[in-house]
Amino acid sequence: MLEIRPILSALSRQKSRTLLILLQIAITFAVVVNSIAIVKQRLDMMGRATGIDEAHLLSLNINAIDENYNFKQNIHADLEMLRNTPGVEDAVVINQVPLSGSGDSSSVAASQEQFDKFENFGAGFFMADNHIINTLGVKIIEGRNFTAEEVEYTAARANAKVTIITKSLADKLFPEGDALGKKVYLGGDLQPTIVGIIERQAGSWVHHPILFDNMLFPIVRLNRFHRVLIRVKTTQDLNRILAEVEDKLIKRNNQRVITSINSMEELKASSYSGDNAMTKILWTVSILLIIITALGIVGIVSFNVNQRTKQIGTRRALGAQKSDIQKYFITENILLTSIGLTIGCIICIGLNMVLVEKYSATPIDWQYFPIGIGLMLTLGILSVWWPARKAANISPTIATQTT
Amino acid sequence: MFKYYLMLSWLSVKRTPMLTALMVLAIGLGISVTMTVLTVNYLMGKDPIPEKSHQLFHVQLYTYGKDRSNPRSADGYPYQVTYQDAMNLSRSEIPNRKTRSLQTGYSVIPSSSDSSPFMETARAIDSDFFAMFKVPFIYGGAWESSVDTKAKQVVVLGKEINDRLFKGENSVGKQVNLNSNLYTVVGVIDDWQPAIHYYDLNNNHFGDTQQIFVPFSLLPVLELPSWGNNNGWKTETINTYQDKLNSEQMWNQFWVELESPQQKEKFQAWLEGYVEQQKQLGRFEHENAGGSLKDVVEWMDYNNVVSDDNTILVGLAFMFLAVCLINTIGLLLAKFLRRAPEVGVRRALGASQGEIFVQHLVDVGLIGLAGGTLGLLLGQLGLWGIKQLYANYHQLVYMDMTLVVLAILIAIGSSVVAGLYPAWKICRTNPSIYLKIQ
Repeated sequence: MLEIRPILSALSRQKSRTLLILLQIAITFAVVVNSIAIVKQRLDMMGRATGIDEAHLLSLNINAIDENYNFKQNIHADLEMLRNTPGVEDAVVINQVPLSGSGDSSSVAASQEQFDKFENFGAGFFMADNHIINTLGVKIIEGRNFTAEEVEYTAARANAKVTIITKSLADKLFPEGDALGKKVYLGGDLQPTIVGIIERQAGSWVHHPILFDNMLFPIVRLNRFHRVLIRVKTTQDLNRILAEVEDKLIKRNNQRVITSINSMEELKASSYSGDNAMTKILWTVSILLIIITALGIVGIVSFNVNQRTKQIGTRRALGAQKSDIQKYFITENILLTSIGLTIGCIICIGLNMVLVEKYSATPIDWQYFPIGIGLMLTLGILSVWWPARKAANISPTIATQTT
Repeated sequence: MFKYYLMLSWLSVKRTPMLTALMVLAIGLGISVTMTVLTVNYLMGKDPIPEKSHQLFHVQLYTYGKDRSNPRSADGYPYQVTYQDAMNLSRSEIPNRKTRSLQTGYSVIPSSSDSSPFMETARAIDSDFFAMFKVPFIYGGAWESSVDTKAKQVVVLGKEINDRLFKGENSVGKQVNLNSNLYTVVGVIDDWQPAIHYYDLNNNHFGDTQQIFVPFSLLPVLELPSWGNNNGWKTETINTYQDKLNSEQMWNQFWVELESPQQKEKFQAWLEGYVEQQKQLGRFEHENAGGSLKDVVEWMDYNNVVSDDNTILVGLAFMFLAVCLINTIGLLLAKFLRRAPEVGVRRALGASQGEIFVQHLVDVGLIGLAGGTLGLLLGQLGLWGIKQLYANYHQLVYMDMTLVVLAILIAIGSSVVAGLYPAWKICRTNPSIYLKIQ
């Protein structure tokens, strides 16, 4: 039933055109599949759960100008005012803001001996008062929050006695799962005891492998420059607070400058802007490529149909049905696409190997191949449909005409 | 003859408008995508100061203790230096010019009470900085070199902030209030926006440059905070600013200008001597301890200014262009072969193979020209899109003459590559076949 043999012989009579279509399909497949794989990887990365209440957080920086600025008093007054503002759930003065791309980290080990042998792990180093858990909106799965008495206000390096760490870090330090109550070692006499474990909390650097390895300390740093993190109740509150918070803080004390008032969504978008751009560029390139290839197939097949008008007319005159003609061109296309895709798979894997080797891309999941193949076959059939119908509509009488 | 060919080409375009449009579109898209990606890549990797990029060196010191290294750098060296090393390095007499450097920041307090204070990033540097990086001045100039050792509260302002504070007037000699300290303006620089902040790749690579420049010697006096990276490896108790200055924390940068290879060698030898001397004092315990000099181009490469993503996109863009060209070759073959009977007649009437070949190349050239023009236009659209996607690229993305010429060359090259085979194929047509059918 399938007319493979006449198709093959027809194709072999126009080797160059056949080869061109094959190559085009192959490269398009390789580029599109690799692009989609990269896009998927980036989207997955951007879509990772952060553990914090992203949608309701905003942050800002305060830089005190006044020489005699009383840090502790002002921090207390600011926080009290913010926490009592309608629509605000909670607020803290904090050393770094999650997802912002800037902050502190430190090495930590499960024992002094391991610390001395550099058998330690990097971890984000967060300092704020006991409102930090509620402000971030993270969940304590073991142990407890800091108490108000544990909070230390200092301009110097604080010697915290307690810490809360993320589960991800706890699992690295204590693979047995018995982290709670253990001491961790950060060098010198900084050896806090783990009093709580958080389910999940993103740190500051979204592209760093230690993103989810974080430690919290009940310390408020009394610095001229400090950051404030505010959690609001609803999205409406967020926009309102974003708009009015600077005025409120300046009205309370004007001996300072407020900058970088950003919602968490903005900080996140900015941290991921490169990935976001990459996904959009790859989408655009892939779609354009598919359009070009599809139009190319339409053009070539239309030309073939024109070239073979007489031949098709003759076949029709000899009894071929319209559907036979259409089937012929579609079968031809499926055959061509299949060969093209076979070559395409090889190029695709080769390209991916280069990307993995040199540019730290991830290997393509096998699922992308059937999806890509299905897509390309559908595209081929759709592109050939219209010229094939035109061919089917060629009148048998054409066979009897001279040109 | 050329005119006649042009006429023939125009007729053939009119006969197959769809096919021609498709080819122009394919070439146009191929070129625009390639050019957009290449532009970004080219401008990022471009030497920002070609006249002296091989004379400016970023100094690195392997100050780590045993078993320590920088996992992110290619040679394990830390990106920055400690304050004590920055101080010691600046004592070398070998370099023509040298500068210590730190990104810091201030609250700027305008004198008029109706404008409110604002924050600005600043750069603490030595007086040589301006000459080293060819920073253009509108008013005044750098502070005297004596200030580099004996701190004075002086400042060089950027044009933007001078416009804001002094309405663009010559502000030399006037005072600016930074963090409640008064600084005397000694110079105002013109709009200085290198596309890449090659003088400080530890912080943002792109974006706006700083507007405030103050003497590095003010660090210990005013305890200027670091607004950049601070990396420590040693367990040290840092309670005061002085502790930080004495520590092994790396948060400063150091640049030297060395005119000749001999001078470079001399300074390199001096660096080795310095490392040896510090070893005696119990520092530089690592077996790789040493000093490294990287010029501007090496430094940019070392810091991956052109990101992996950009390189991947360039590769994919060329594959995209390849598909567009293959597409065009296929379509051209179709278009030319359709004309085979006509060519057969022309050949029979005496046109040589060469003439047919040239005529078809004119055909291809026209399509290439149209495709190239479309490509340049779409390329602008592409660049506009890139600027929307990357907020901090606005200084970076534009097409200079080199790029426009490159675009035209790619357009011509592409269409010739695409057209050669089809034109060759058609000119070899055997006239007799078509004559018989006719």
